[in-house]
Amino acid sequence: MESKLYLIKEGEISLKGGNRNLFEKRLRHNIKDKLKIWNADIEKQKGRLYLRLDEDADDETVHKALSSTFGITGFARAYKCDKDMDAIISKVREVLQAHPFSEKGSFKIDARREDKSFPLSSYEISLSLADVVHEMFPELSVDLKHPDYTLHVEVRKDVYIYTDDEKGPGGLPVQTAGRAMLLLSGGIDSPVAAIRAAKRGLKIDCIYFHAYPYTSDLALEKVKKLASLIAPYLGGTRLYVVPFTDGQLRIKKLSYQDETTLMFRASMMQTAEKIAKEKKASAIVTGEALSQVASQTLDAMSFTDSMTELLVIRPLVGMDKEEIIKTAKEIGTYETSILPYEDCCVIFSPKHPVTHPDKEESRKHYESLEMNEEIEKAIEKMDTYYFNPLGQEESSEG
Amino acid sequence: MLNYFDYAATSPMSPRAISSFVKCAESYPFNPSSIHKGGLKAHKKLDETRERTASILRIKPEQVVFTSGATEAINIVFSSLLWHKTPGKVIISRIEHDAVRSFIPLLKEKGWKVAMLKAKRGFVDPEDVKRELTEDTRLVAVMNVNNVNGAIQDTHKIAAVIREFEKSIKHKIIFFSDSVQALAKTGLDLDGSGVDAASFSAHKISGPRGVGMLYIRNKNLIRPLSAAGGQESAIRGGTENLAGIVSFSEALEEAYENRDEKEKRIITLSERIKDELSALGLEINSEGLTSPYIINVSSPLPSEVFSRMLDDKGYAISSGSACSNNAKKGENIIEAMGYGNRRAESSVRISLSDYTEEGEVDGLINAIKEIIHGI
Repeated sequence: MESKLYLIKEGEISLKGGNRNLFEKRLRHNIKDKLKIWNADIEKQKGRLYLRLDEDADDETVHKALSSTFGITGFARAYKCDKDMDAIISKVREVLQAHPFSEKGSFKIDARREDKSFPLSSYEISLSLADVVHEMFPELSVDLKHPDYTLHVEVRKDVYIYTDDEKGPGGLPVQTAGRAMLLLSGGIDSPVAAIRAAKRGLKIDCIYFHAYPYTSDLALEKVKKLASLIAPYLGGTRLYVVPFTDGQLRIKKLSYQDETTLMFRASMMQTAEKIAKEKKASAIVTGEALSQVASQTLDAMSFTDSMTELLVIRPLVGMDKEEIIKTAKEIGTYETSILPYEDCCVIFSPKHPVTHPDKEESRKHYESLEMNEEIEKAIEKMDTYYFNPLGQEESSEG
Repeated sequence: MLNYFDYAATSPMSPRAISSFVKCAESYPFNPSSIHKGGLKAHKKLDETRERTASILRIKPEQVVFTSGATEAINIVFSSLLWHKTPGKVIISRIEHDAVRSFIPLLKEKGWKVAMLKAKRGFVDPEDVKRELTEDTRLVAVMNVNNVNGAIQDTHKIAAVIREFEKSIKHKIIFFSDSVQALAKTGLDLDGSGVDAASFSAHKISGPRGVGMLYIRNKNLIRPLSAAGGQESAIRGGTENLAGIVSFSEALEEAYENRDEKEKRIITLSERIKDELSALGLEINSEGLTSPYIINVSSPLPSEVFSRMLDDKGYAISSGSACSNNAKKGENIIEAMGYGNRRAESSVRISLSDYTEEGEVDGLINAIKEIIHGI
């Protein structure tokens, strides 16, 4: 069967020294895993990956998959042909018919001869292909510096032809930096935090605290939707839903009113740590940005950090809300995040929350709540959902 | 038992309404505007139904305009204002249904002045109407029975104030009263009250959805945006939903049978609910002269949470507002009645119908007791 070919460019990985092989292997694995339904196969040639898929692979899905795979800086649909100038010319005609340039503007031929045994030089290849383009699009002019369109021809073991490439998301392949647990809420921030952290190679699973009936099942559906939207960037993700109503009620009943949010966050950290350790994750990622709300002051963060011995990563710490919203829109989570299903009921939110807790005092207060039993109970009753690298929900194997 | 307490939202069709719908759909598969025998037969049925409806409501057949629902009836009245060459003033109570309030932006955009009447505890003071009336006033809209807390307006007095003022100006002022929650219940007196136009909906009285009615005292008061095919005296064009209209009329007749007895029973149930919930510490937001079919209360929990808890126990009620930290879109009606933000955010509506059974009420009260004792 004919296959579909994509050329993939790696970015930062190519700068890696001794570990380069590891990074590349992981990237190849991540891409293949994502597109396994079309029997993805990858061949590597000098700083390029060639992805081969079944002919019936859906272009849009492939496009989405590659543009959400960290480690890729660019990709393009490519065409392979024999190492023969006549074959190249006839393939170029075919490609330009499938991906036509516009009638107006400028173009450039970018020919590279990696295989020096090929009889024509890069310049000569460019010249004869420029004639072909001219003939097909007589209005186009040549511009070598700022062309509107570029036709790439690479003469390697085989000849590869492709037009302009798409930008990849950059970053490093997920799972090259270890595993972490994300505290996912229904808000705008945490999905963005997930993607920021995953971009540096973290493999991320998500934890959501559900307080039914104080929060609705629509809020849970919203969080599941968010998990499915970020799953492609995370190379698939698990969503752990912790039923925390009893825990929240205990906190509301026993803690000082102005400290309820703080105590809740402390118990979330503790719970996340327990789940993380069980699932072999070594860090907790949150969507907190410094001073955005009362629980995000230095003192409050310092207190909640003290509840876990795991590293707490806050990728958004220095971002403004506007920057966060911009990214949320780019990754497509914004519209879901702003649906009006609250992830925390007003009755658990104090009117005047403490902003500068005394770490030691608050620790004592927290200990007096004796949350362990509630936390254990909640983890026992926890539900797990799995979203595959294409963002589809699959039955979870736990 | 249905354990359903959201009749003010919609009500299941009664067996009589269903059977009359089916019978009519089978027997009259014709367009009442057609001139063949079938069409004439359908037209006759429509005329008869209009007469029957008018007689139940003690109004004239020509005052009945069948519509697709109350919203359409409201739309006909409000959009007719746009024919005026110069924009005037409308006076609207702050506690109107969205179907009415949603016209405010359009009217303002077209240069109309919109005065909002306050309605403490749900009641509009006729004196406030009097104060707002001006020479360029074209319409006053005050609903008959409020859908959120059941407050029954003194439409007689409001009409009297308007009629008195009219003597000093050259044109008529339309007094429109959305009367969806009054139909076949307390408080409706179309002919006696002096209301000029009123909207009704069939599905709130165990009739079908997609059918409603506009009462219009004098058809010259209103000029619809379009007469379309000229049906319903050119006030509501479009082929008539004959089976729906017949079924609506049947539901209406059924609802008016033994009216007083039915209402007496509901008053007893309603008073009991109020007393018991009050004893549990819930605040009653239906005070004074209110419909026994609608009871609004505030619990210690956010509306949405409280109704979700009741739903899990098998009881359907209505929550006015969401459990939200964010600012609400628009104004909460309970808040507009002066009950304060906290009370508004924890308010829920329990609504009854003539089909509500005593056993259901017992169950509801017990379920609420369990919730309140559990927090």
